[in-house]
Amino acid sequence: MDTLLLQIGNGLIIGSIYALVALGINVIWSIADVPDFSQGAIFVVSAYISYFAVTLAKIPYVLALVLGMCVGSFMAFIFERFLYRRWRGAGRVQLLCAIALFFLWTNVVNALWTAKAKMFPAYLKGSMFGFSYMRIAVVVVAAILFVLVYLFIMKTKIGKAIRAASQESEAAQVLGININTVNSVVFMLGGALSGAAGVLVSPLYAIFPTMGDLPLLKALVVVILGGFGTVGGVLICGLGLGVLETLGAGYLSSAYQHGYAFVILIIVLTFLPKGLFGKV
Amino acid sequence: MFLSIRDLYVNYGKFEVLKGVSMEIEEGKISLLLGANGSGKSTLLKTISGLNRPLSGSIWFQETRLNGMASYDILRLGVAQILEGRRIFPHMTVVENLELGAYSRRNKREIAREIEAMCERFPILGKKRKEQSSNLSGGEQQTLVIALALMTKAKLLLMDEPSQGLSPLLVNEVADTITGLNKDGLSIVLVEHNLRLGLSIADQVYVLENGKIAFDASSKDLSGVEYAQKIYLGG
Ligand SMILES: Nc1ncnc2c1ncn2[C@@H]1O[C@H](COP(=O)(O)OP(=O)(O)OP(=O)(O)O)[C@@H](O)[C@H]1O
Ligand SMILES: [Mg+2]
Repeated sequence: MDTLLLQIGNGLIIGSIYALVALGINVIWSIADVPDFSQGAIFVVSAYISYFAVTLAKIPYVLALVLGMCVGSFMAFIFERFLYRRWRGAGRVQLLCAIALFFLWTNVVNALWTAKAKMFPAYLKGSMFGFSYMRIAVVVVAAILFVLVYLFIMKTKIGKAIRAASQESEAAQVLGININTVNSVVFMLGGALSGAAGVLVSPLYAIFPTMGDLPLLKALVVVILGGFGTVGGVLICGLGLGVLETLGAGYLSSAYQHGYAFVILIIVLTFLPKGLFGKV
Repeated sequence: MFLSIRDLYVNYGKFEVLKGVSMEIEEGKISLLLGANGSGKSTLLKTISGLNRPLSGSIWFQETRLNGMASYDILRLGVAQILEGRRIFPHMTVVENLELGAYSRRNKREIAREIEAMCERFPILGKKRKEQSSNLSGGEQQTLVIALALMTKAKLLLMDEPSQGLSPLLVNEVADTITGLNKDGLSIVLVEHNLRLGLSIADQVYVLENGKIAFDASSKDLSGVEYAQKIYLGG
């Protein structure tokens, strides 16, 4: 019983990482219509930058988290402003560009800092109910970020513009909503979330150039399962996927841990082509 | 001149839609734009409001050149558009929709007051103010679309088929609304397939054919009506 609870807990922790990356990708995909694979690279670069900030500049972990989010935001802003925007409407070019950015940046990281894994120093000691505080912090911070994103989209003026643009782009434009601003904000939001996820997960595992691959793939599964455009759907699917794959690894076989997501994806899409919560 | 379009060319890729449209629109009038399906009426309106970019030619609104400007700047100058096909924001309430109509303005108190006024002017909107707009009936949604456009405080309103899909009774209501707005000083360019409705309220008629304005006359001028009828009935 205890191990079951522990595994569910660990599933929720890794699930919150998936959900964070997925939320960013989902918002970008549903509003700017770009399947932004480069978020996987943003995840990695933010993790490295915050690692250096903590180890070399000795800044506190909380600030490193904020820094990672800023780095993620900035990268996503630049990618949108100077690359994706150029090919708006040309979906295939944007897709290729996104994939290229992902590989390019993971390779840049590899070239700059080698493939050797780096260990993030522990920033909190102690544990509660068998979970280290650092693991609990992941869930808490992810929850806070989810609430903030929700409030941002539902309550602020720019959040409202984002929703309007996603529901009726042309009508939003003739009412004075600047679609370029909307896209910039959406990408910055996504980048901040991926950056946060990268920094949050670093102290639990290790930092290495391909650390973004699996979270990116899982997040894509979550986005597709959750149906585009629903914050709640992403949250439930992200956490659910984390739990299912941890349980699968514990009780079925850990050899397939990273395969379960795709089995679930195929099963769900066979019966529900629009995903579990799909509106579109 | 209020709105002046000179030698406008608009393409979709290789497909030429507008091939040298020129027209002058006067302030305070209801101008009816007619033309067969696919003749480019919606394209023309969207080019005025900045959604489409012209290949060449110019659009002037009160001494300002509109083409090349972004749609939000064009809106700020006072040109609003009602798009074809009742484009409301379905996952938002009636009031949230109206707030979006005032997106380009800041004064919150004034906006709140105007929303109240709008709800009084169109009681069906007042009654359903907290409802998701996707739950409104077709006629109610069309009213909402018009109210949304009014929230922008435009001087010139481009209306693309506001009567589309409405029952005859509601069509008359829309016609009354349009003439009422015009009496209050709003200039209107109207695209309308319902000839009877269009001609009954318009001051000036323009016919778009083969990518150009083929005809331009006062709506009192019967030859214009005949010309328009010929186009619609085929001939
Ligand atoms: N986004 C687009 N891309 C490519 N072609 C388009 C696009 N929008 C319109 N067209 C084409 O341009 C032509 C003019 O279309 P437009 O919608 O302006 O006509 P319309 O006069 O408004 O027609 P209707 O009376 O049916 O509304 C049509 O042949 C249409 O198929
Ligand atoms: Mg049309």
